[in-house]
Amino acid sequence: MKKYIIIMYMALALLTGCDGRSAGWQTGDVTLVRALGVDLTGAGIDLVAWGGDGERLSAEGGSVADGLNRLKEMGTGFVHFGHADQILLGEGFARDKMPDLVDFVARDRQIGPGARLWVVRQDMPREAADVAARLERLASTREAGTTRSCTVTQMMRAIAEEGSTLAPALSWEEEELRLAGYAVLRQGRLVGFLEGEQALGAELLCGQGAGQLVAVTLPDGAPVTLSVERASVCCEPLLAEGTLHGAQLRCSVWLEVVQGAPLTAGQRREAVRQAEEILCRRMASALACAQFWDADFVGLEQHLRAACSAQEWNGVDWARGFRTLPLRAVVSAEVAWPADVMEE
Amino acid sequence: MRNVAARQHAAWCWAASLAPALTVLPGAGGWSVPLLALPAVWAADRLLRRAEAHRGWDRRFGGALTIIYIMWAVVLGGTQLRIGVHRVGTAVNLAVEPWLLAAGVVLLAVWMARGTPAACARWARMVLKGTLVALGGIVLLSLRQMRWESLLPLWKGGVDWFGVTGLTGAVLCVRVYGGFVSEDGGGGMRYLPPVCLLLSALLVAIEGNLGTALAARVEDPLLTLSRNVGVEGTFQRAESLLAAGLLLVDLALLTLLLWAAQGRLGRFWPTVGLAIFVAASLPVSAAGMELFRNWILPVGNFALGLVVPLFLLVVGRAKDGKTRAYIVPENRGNGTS
Repeated sequence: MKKYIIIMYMALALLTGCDGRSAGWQTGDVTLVRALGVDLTGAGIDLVAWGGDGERLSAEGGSVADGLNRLKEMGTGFVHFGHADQILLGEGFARDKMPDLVDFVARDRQIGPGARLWVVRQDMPREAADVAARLERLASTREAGTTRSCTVTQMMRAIAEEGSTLAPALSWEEEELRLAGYAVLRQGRLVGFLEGEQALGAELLCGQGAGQLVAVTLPDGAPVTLSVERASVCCEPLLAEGTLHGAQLRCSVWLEVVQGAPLTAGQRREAVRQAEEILCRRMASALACAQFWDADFVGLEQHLRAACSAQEWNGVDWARGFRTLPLRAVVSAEVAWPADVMEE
Repeated sequence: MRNVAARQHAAWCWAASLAPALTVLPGAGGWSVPLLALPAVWAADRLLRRAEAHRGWDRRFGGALTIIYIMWAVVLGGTQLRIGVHRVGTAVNLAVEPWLLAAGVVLLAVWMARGTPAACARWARMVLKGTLVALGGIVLLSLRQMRWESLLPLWKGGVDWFGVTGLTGAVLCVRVYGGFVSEDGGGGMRYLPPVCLLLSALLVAIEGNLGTALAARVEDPLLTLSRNVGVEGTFQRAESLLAAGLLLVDLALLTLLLWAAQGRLGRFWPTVGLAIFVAASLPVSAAGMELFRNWILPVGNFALGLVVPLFLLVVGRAKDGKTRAYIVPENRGNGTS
């Protein structure tokens, strides 16, 4: 028995992994990369790594793997990418090379596929500091226009299904990264950006949008601001003679008055009517963009396929038909705080 | 035959069953597979147990059957060990050669097989409970990222009957080896509902998180799912934990196979451990592994887990009881080996 135990312990000693790591790992001299920036340059790929303590490394390479290898050689400590949970993509890279990055992360043992993707409009802000902290702040903030996130896995899924998805967009203004709507990616390639009302409409179409503000003006000229508490979307096929000839997206929205004097019942009805119009316009503008870019980021195909019978879906050519399918957005809103209503 | 508490023996068999069950599971779209395998396993177990189907035929064929079962133990153990070590290598950077990790696991299994089966069963019960909790945790953590609409329609693609057959065969085959170790006949059915429900929930989580197309593209959908679950501020991913946990499940299978070999081969049983190590370390191409994983393992498990015992049941019923051979001996020293 003793000899077996000795052999077993000797085998375990071989598995400690002490010999395969660099000296920096053993001594704790490690640069933990929290955010990674990837963009195109003339020569190939430009990579920037931001550490949690403000440290910044940058390198160029022929591919993502080559660039990361060069980054590993930089600095004084062991560069570890296992904590990189934010990936910043330059606009040029997102247009052409996204599938390369996704394929790399899918195989890489350090960078997790749960890392969030952000698309920077125009060029990568190489000189930016503390990007990791800023992105974490943005990711945790429920600001209007940013409630949807996109991870590498979600992008992998969109590419595998030949579908479309949204990723939050950023702009570099006044030495700070700011939210700038959404980037629309079809089959993993950037096709355009949704801004302002379009971005808010896209959130509503995806059944999100909590925190959006809706400003209305009552007939007596008093301004009232409503906030979206929650929203849900139901997709209904419009059928004629057993074939699909359109779809209706019915969005139910619960609102709360956040600014303005207490409302009478009549004023509340008027406020709700105006809010429904505004929200409907937002959704319609986002749908128009989706059809223009042929990017079904709402997942309409799956909703409609589930709602239609096999016979009704048989004649549908979604790949060609989505752009021209008549789509209708309908909003029904409720103000969720009846205590705010005054007696008339 | 050997003194192992029925509850612990059942846990040992179910812990060992998890290894081939996770291997033969469809990547996505087959959430109904474990639910359909549940009544199939239960019915097969009742049928074989009631009819004492472990007994039948004569000594010559019993000896041949023993050799076949031992050879399959080597194939099954070697393939599962190879898959387990590869899974660890996919999740983390192995600083050593994979065969060293395989050797460590086999040595551990041999050492455990030199003790008592009761101790192995007690250990396996903890492994089973820990694995079920870990897999359940992965399902729960993945719920918030689920895209529920991708599960619709619920019956898209129909039923994967090959998957049902493979899963049923995997559980029943391990139960036959469990029958070699204890008179309990391969463990009870008390863990059948939770295991099947959990496997079904795992497939739903994979479908909802990765989708059918992506799950079909990645090598190990369960590992990919675990790379996406985490708790903000504590851990971001769980693939290394899962890979290590599933290696324990593989170890439970190896210990069961070695104990089964010990009952069949006597003092030559360590050669089975050596053969499993060789089978796990031999160079096999990726296409060869796919063939093993998708075809040879499910078909072999089904044949040795259900078809052969059923055949023996029919033959045993047809003949009188005097000239029987046994997959499981009726009493010590009165069997095929």
